[in-house]
Amino acid sequence: MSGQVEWQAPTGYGSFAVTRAEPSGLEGAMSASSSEITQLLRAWRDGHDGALERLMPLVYQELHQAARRHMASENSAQTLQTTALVNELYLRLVDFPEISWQNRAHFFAVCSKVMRRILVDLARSRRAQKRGGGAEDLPFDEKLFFGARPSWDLLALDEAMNRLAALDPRKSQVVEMRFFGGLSVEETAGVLKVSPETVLRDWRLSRVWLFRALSAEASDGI
Amino acid sequence: MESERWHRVEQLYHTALELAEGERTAFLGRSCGNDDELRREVESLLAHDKRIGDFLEIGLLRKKVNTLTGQEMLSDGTASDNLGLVGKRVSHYRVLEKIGGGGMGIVYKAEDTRLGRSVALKFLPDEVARNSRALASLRREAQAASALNHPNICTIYDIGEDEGRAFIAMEFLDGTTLKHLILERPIGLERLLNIVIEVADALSTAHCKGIVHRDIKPTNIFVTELGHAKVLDFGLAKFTDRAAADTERITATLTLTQPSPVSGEMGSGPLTTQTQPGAVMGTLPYMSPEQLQSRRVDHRSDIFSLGVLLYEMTTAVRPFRGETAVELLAAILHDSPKPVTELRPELPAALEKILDRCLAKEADQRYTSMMEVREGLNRLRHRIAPGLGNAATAGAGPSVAVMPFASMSADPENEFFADGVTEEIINALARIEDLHVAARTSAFSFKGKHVDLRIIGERLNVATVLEGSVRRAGDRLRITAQLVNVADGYHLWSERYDREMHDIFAVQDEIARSIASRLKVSLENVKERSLVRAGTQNLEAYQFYLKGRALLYRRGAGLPRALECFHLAVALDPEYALAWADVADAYNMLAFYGVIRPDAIRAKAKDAATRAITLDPSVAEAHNALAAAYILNDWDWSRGEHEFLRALELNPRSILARSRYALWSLTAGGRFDESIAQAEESADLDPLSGYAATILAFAYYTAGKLTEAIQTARHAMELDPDSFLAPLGLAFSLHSQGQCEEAIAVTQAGLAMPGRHPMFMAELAVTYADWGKPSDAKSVHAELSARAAREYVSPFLLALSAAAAGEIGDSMRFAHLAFEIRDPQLSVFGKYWPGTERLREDPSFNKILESMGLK
Repeated sequence: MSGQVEWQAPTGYGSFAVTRAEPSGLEGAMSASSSEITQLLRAWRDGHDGALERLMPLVYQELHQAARRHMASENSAQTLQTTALVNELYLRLVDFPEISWQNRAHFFAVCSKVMRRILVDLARSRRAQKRGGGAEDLPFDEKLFFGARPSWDLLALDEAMNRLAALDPRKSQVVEMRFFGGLSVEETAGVLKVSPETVLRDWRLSRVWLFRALSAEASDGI
Repeated sequence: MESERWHRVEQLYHTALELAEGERTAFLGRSCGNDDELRREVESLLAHDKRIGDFLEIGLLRKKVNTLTGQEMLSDGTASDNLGLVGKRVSHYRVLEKIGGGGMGIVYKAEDTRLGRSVALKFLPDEVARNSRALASLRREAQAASALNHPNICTIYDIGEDEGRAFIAMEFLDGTTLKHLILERPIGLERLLNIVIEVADALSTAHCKGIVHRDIKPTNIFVTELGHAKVLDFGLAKFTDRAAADTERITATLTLTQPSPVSGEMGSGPLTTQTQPGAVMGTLPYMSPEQLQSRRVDHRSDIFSLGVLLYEMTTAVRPFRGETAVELLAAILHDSPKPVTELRPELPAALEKILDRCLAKEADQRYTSMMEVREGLNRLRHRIAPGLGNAATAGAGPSVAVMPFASMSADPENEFFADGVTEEIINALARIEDLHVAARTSAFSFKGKHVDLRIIGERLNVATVLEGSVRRAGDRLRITAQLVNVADGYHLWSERYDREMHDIFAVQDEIARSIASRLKVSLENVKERSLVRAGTQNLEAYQFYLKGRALLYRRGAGLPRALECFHLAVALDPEYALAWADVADAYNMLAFYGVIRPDAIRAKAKDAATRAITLDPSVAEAHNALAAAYILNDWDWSRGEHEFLRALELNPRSILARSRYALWSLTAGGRFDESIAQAEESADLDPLSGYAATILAFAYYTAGKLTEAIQTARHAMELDPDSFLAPLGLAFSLHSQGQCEEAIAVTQAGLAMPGRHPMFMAELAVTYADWGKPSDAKSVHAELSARAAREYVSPFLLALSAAAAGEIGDSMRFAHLAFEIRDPQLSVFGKYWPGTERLREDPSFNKILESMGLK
């Protein structure tokens, strides 16, 4: 899975690495407890439900640390790549073979919650930095998330999602899974135990509801 | 209560979305009454829906990665975009996105605003840009590659500088790196030879200009969508006359790590062999002995590296390996690689010889020029692919049957997918005029059966057979395909494709083209640029579509679920014409089989079909569905015929359109000879299709050729023992010939199928009546009437059974109802169901037929 692997050693051969002189934050973060994560994933696959619970804080910690370390080491113009970084880590974690489709979807669903938290945290700390440190006024590049639209504020999206959740929790969950977790309609349906059609309807309404909420805020200058 | 109100908003919103825009205001006015706030809320949501675009559509994760360097993008999360250039202008380029990067540079996709074309811009990372040596290397690359004009070398357009930052603008490529292709298992020999020959050709040209690449490795070979090689990254290239002055020492820090037990087990040991910027030149496993020893390097070093590459491509392992870097170095310098024929005995010995000569430790024992390597590879390629005399001479012309691709995953969804891939390839090949392709149903009749290839060839009348398999894991896709000569079992071609899901249409197109080229058929007459119609870019929509198709083929209980799938597909991609066509046809089928009341969906079928045609007038399925809607629901025979003909013009091999045209259009007009001719053609095109044979049986039946009808219907039942319509056709024919007892037995068998379909019940009642068993006819009619009280039953069928039971008054009442709701059973069988004579005794039924346009 890791793109760094150029060639896979046959079993028993072992392998070697020619690494950079200074391992990047990403690699450093991964090495700490990735083996623990792997073990938990395996335990969970083998039917130990408790493993998932213990897994999530670790995943969160891993993702968050890596993202933070990376941010700290770069200037604020770097924020765009944070997402790519988190993506990379996340993909490493979830591309674990032999997990059944249902379990994988479930795992994605949990991860989507984690992803949301991390990204919102990052956006918040960046906003604080901006206010305090007079860093250059670079928007957190939500263009990446929102396509070619004016850069929506991730924090605003998060708040709008909270309001939506108060109104209709499942709708907010659908957005969380589809947008933050990248779950397909069918996977989302599987996790939420509703039909794919229901997910699609929820998705359609949630999107337009959130779109309106964010448009209103943008025009109100909030 | 707020949640109730929200629920109401939700309902109204979704219902309004279903309506045409013009009807929404009126609908909301009606539904909201005085509740203006409610109406405004829904209207506001609807208004925002129009402007929503792709808001949130692109999820944060699992984004598609289809870039210059393929999967490098993810792996290079570490080589970050510290240039922060995305969205900015650099010189006259607008930077669009980062698409990759390695130790030696960061690559962006950009638009050349002057020429309006896409380019790849390569910059040095900041920390490297300060390194004068790396800067020199970048310049060298530009200089070196721009001196070369070769179709297999990535073209350099420009070298520039912006705010003190040097960059190269080069050809933007769509495809993937060779590394990506090799990933786990070997690529088919012929295909890999094609790639390596192109690389050798490119390098040979470079060598002639005195340029040595010096870093040939899988990540530096790009394979385009069309399967051509492009050599990238002449970053290490040296002009040979300067090489002597430029000896480099390996100064890299080689950090040796043992694999952790966990990552070892996971099969992703941390093995990285990256070029450290400004230190190691070249990439260790591909470096020649003289490169490692910092001796003089010339073009023969590239020959060695190409040998390593070729070895790895054929066996998926590298010739020189070691547990540590030191051991690897030692292996390159001293070890003889294990013969490839030992690893893969099926490989030709000639390949072994070529590799030996490329991988000789001493440069002067290798080929003397890249041209020689190329020639050697070329000869080998000719030997393994000796023309296709066999296939071409076996029949009148080139012919192929595509067997259902095997599904290699436990996931049942994958089977729909594998079937979809098969069908898509059949459709693609069917677009090639000079190629005879076995039709879908015939080919699928061998699904899951182990039948000798020769028998398949004989029964389908083809000289070659394409077999394959499909495996999907998340976004990864592996398709294998092999073309086999039926006469001798000889493998004419085989290939493995490791791709991502979004490449699915490209792979199918590639497979179809490869087959066309192996069978030497010309693609000149193909109008479309691509043989495969992508239909949608939305893969989720595509998968729902495929699932829907699979269910549609099963008919029966699968129909409502098929419709659901097509609805999901068009909800995900409202511009998916093929899926709209199938929405329409699913409605047609549901109405025909009486699953839903025809008047409930009448407009929907036509709307969906019209929408499909508006989106893409070239979709034959859409015209077919529209034709069906015109005929079943509108009795608009002339428009129906027109649309059927249009569908057949677009796809002459559509069995469905031809069969319906025969039975619904021509028969209705009393044009029996034409009807039989069309149905015969379908049956010839798809000789093992039970459906085509059934329609032919019905065509004979309506023409009064009962002996042929009985024979053909029996044949249809043999072809497809699960056929729904074939026993009905047989029963009609037997019944009309007066063989009532046999007819009843067949009808009873039809009723034994799940659902106890009313069509068989009506037929049973009529046959009993004609056989002189009125009480049996009555009891069947009673059962059918009782059923009609619980669920929708076609009123035309009720009219038939009521008449059989002697209840003429009821019968006419049902006939009028059938007319009113435009019962498709009446449209298709109004004139021909055995026993309609009883209905015709009443003049009002004749009037009905007359007003329908059926005399």
